Amino acid sequence: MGVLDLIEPRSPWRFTVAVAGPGAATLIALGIGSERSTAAALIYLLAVVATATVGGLGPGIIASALSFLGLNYFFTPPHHTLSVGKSDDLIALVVFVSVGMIVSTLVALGLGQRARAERREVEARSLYAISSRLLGTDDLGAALAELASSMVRLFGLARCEVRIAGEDGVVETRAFAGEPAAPEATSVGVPLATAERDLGALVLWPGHGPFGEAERRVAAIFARQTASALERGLLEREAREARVSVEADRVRRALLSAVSHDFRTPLASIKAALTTLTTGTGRHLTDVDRKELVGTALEETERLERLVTNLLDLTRIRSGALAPERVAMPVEDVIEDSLAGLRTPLGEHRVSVFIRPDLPNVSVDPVQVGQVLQNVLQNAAKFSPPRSEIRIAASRWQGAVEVRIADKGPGIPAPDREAVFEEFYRSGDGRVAGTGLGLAVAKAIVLAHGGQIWVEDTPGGGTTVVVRLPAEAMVR
Amino acid sequence: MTAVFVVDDEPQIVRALRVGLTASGYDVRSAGNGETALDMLAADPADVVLLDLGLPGIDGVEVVRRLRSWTQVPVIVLSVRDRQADKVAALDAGADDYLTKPFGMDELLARIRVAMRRAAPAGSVSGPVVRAGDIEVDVAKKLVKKGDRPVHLTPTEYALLEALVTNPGKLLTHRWLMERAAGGSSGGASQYVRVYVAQLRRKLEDDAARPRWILTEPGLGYRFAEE
Repeated sequence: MGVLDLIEPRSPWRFTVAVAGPGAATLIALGIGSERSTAAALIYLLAVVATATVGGLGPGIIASALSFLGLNYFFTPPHHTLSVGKSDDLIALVVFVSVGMIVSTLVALGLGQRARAERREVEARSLYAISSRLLGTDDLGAALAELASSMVRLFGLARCEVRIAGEDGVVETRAFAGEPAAPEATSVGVPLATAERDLGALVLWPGHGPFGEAERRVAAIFARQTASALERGLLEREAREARVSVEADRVRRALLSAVSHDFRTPLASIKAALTTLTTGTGRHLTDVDRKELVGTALEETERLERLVTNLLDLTRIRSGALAPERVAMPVEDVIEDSLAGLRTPLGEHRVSVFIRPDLPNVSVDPVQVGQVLQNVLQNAAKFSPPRSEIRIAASRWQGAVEVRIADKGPGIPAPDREAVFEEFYRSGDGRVAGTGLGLAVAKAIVLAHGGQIWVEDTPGGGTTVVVRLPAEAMVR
Repeated sequence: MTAVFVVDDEPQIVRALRVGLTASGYDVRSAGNGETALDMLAADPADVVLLDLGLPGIDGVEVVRRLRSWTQVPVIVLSVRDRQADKVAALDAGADDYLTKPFGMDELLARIRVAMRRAAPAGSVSGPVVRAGDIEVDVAKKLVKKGDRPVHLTPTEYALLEALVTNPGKLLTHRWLMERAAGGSSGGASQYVRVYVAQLRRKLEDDAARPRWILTEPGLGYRFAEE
């Protein structure tokens, strides 16, 4: 960019200004009086500055020249001639023209710089907007359409097309702005490429705005920015998809192996028992043997049933198909009912219950929450040493009641305390039998009640499961 | 009486096995974990071991490995794990056979009989001439006949066939066959064995595509069918 840029025509009427300014100055100065040459000179100067401000350098210089002539003709003696009588007047005229020229140049330069700064700012804004759109969006199509219309706006294009190579390498127009170009119209291609890959191209058809070397350079910067934003977006998406599929794969595999283990183990006992009863071996069985085999098959069938029921419950509760039927009742009743209804007793564990007086009623589905407490209790019994104490305590916490079930088992390391509530999670070496669903079901039920469940340390060693249930007042 | 030792942490399956095996004339003992099993077997050996893989404490594969340091007692793995890799790991550690849970009692009994036969002193079961359908293998003279026709085999093919027919019903892994037939094992054992088995089938089976005698255990090895 140089001074030449400044005298490029920008609008036709600025040359009218170049004539009108000095003309108006002449009329005003004549009105004041042709003998007041100093005042006239200042009025002309004002006209020159005004013209340069509005029209730029070219009109400013023209205005200076016209003002010089006007000043000379009307206000320097001998009047109405272009000759100058006194040398003082000649000096004044020369100084006037010089000042006019310098002022015009300065004003025009300042204006040009400001215009360029503004244009750069617009370009920078557009660039920023486009790259952040491209980076942040899942709707690539919309972002590219925005890019195309920004290009059209910024460069006054007739049309802009964004062509991008797909995964199969075929390049297609993914977005465009402006009217379809005539077939014979010339277009400019700007590659969309980064150091690593070719992504496609921007195809531009110049319209009413100029599209020279400068614009092409700016467009190239746009294309580079777009390409790297596109690439980052692509890479990010690829990484995200890879992450998601790895995680889904892990879950699927864990689920599959858990299901296969949990279903096959009871099935193995059932099949072994039944095939013993029905095949040749069966002839040598005593009645006691037969009873034992049938008993084993039944027991294992019940285990399978529990597994299936738990899985179904989990699915139903999570999907909201098994909504809690709330009843307001004292928490000790819920605890007592769940202890009484335990399907398998807690072995030789001592269970002690501590309930604070004046607890509000809880608003819960007694069957579901009973199931929660049973699952937690059975877990506690399974993982703590025989004959050790399991302690149940209920206390108030703001608008809720907290039931703490504490065992003296090995405890759960802090990093696993969330995971124990996932389905098919098994502690440590995973050797303790169980469906791996008890705590997952418990959590689903508690959440459906608007409560919370989590794991803490038992003071002095062991695991404490805390179940926070909404109190009656809180639900109403 | 033949002594069977069951290692499994699931009391229900142990109970079912105990009843079924006792009724079939076996003497049954059991342990719920690997360490106890190893101690009990060291003190009083058994004739065959039925071993679960997912045990509390040391894993079933490790139990086989430790057993093999002092005894060649036949070990049949009973496990819910049905992945190839699990089977190969157990067999490579020295297990003799692998039965995926759930299984039928008659199948288990058949596998126990095969394992017992293999454990018996060589020759006492099969004698110098082994017959399978119209195939006849004279182990003493190293002669093979199909019907009345003598069959010519290369030394590797013969070694492979002898290994197969002298272990009827037993699962023979690629690696084991490779060691017997070619006197060494390599990374490509399964490919190598597969080629020779294909040749044997062409020479001996009525329909090589649907073998009657040399049966494939996918991913593991081969089994020579019992009559």
